[in-house]
Amino acid sequence: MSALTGSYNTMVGNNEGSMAIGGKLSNMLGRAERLVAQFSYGTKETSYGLSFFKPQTGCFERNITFGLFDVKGQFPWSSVREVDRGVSFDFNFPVWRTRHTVRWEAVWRELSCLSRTASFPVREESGHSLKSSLAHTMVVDCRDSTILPSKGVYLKVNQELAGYTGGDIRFLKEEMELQLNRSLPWGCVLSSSLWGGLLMPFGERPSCIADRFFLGGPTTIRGFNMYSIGPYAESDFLGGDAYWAAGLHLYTPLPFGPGRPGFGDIFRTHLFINAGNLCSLDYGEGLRGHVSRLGSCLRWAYGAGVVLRLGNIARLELNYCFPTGVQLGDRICDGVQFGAGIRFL
Amino acid sequence: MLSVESLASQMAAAEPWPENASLYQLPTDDQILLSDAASCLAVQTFLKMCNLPVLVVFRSSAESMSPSGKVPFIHAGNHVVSELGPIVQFVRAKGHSLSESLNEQEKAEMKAYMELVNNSLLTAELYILWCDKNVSSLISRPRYGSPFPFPLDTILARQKQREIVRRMKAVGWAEKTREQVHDEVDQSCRALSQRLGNHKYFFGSPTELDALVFGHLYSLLTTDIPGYSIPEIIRNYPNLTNFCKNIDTHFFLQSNTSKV
Repeated sequence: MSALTGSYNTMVGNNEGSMAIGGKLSNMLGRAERLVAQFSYGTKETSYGLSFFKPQTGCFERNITFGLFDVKGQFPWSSVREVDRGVSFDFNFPVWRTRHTVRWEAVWRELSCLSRTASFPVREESGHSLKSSLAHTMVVDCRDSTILPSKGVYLKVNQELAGYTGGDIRFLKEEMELQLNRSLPWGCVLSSSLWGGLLMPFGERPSCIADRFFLGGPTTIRGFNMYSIGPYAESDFLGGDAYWAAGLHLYTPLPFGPGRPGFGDIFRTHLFINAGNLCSLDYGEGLRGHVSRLGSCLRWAYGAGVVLRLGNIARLELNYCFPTGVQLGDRICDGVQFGAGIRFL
Repeated sequence: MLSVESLASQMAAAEPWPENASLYQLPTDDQILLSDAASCLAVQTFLKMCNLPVLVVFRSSAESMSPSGKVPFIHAGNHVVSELGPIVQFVRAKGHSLSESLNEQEKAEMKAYMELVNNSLLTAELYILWCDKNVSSLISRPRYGSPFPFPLDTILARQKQREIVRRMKAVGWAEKTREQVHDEVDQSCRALSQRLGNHKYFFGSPTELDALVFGHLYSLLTTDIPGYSIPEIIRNYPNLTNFCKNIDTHFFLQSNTSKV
């Protein structure tokens, strides 16, 4: 393998296209270090990044990554334009059967409105902020495949504490993802997922829209438009401080021919039902109030569709959805919905 | 841009002036700079002259919130309008105008004097704040960066300075000396003083020109800038200082006491 490699690719995603150019210096200092530079130019997002990766000799799983990045993004569901410039430092290490990441990052974020007609609560979020945070992620993955597993458990717990290493954004964020898979006769698989998250801002300032959770869309709660659930102002979705989402899937290899390599291997049909809720919390209500608020005004949808596995990293879904539990303001996708992504509920 | 604004004004015309209209500006104690203070005071004076109530809101992120990137801006109903010119248009669409009674010639004259104030007084303020090394490092940059955490305070203030200096270069002000700036201010004060004469207002009754001139002169008179003697220059024209005093008593002191 040559020491310097270059790459060029184009990507088409959710209503956007982009082009990426990258360069990679493998084994830079002779101990499997890697220096990666990439630039991506898209219709909605432009980003460039530089990262340096160094594993511990003899234990590739234990490594450090240092990154520099500049990402410009547009979020039309909330009329926000965000520019992030920052540095990050990751330390990855395995402990028994779990993988851990400790990450420190400092990000200068600039938020602005996408258009003159953005709602006023979004306009009020405009401005500069500096988030400096320490985060810890733990992953347990006992599945037999990341995209279409037939058995096993996946658990990811992520916590982020911002504001104690500088910056003017202070919060504690907890997030959790759980997936259980179970084999059934005839190659069917029953898969259930549960996601949840909580954001607690410290101090006088309420949470920033860039830190809040968004829910809805073909990769989370199917049957709703991308991030179009929960608190809103005019036509902009504002995100929430707490959420939960759950999904139940029945995957079957029928009618693509179970067990046959090739076609039947990468296609599945599935029946699904998914539900969830997203809300903002005002911190005077206590635990009971929060739980009851997350339990009321439920959003849920069911449907069926086809899943296509792309390698072992991504998947495409074409579903027919019936959004049933819909609340005022939500934008639904009643009928055919297409989804592409790497992380699915 | 103009067509968007005029469309917005037409749409706005349907609704009357909302009771909860707010005027957003920067916090006055530790952040606002002379040029922004003058612009904010001008808009506030204009709205008082129109007798339109607004709630003044101080926000350190007001500049980023403004659609044009400049303070002040008003939030009225569903509309967000920034800077004096567009605000005057917007208010006119709501059926309030101070310059309606002027004839075409007077209107053109009023516009010319407003341009004069923007091109000389406002530009002089920006020059002093950002092109003068002493003032910018002692006052402008620290105040501008004050709401941001380290190191954004320095980065954003430097970025602002670069932007203004570039603009000053484009209009040929960047290389001016302190004396030349004093001269510019003196010349425009003389022009304004001659036009005003012994009258209370420039065109008989209050107009947006009076609001703009008051905003700048009052701010310049009450701000002490090391190394500059702008207040002394303005005081050479007693009719201008009387004009400021008059508007201050009539629209600010009186309305305050009547509330109390």
